[in-house]
Amino acid sequence: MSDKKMQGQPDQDPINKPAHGATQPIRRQLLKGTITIPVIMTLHSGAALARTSNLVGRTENPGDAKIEEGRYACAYDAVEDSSGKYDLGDSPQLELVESPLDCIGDPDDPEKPGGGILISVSAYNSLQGRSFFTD
Amino acid sequence: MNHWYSVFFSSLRIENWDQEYTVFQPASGKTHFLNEMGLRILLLLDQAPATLDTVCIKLAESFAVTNDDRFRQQIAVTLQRYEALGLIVNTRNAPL
Repeated sequence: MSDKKMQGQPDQDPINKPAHGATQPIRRQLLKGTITIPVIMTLHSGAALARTSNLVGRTENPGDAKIEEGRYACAYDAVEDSSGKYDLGDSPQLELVESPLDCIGDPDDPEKPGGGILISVSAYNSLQGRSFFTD
Repeated sequence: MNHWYSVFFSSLRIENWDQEYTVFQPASGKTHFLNEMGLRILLLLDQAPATLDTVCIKLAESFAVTNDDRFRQQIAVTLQRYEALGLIVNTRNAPL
């Protein structure tokens, strides 16, 4: 078992491999200071964290959704959960609209049915690269 | 007698950060942070299947620590943790 694997990975000798140059921040002393017992800490999959971050809050203040003059961040197909957050799903549907009413709808204008929620500029930026834009 | 052995060791991406180690496990997408003894256990179990007793004896020799009941308990817990993470398996669950 061992010999085959080790031949196939000549650089996989981590204990004798030179260390990366690094300083010793205080937070790393947990590992360094406990040599007489094994220590393991696990950072969980980034994919799971990324999926969670598709939860956003609705902003009530249009100014927080203002990307630039005349452009507001709007998200569609948002499903509200029990905590009051909105789940935008795996492929968030985002649009930059000219008016907040273009997003949330105008009861007095049948041409503006709405259906979206305004999201903050921060939320909009965090979703960049993981969203489907209909700008 | 129960033996432990590492699985998918060759797939792990291990980096040395001055005797601290990051171990990326592609199968789970998780990154583990180990100290030297933690990594040594994985290396031992990659070289050959071993019992808890054998692992304790080798670690005690390498790190000049006392192989007492407390140490043995700590190693046993670590092995169980590694098993839960899918880094090693026990022959009672997966015979060789």
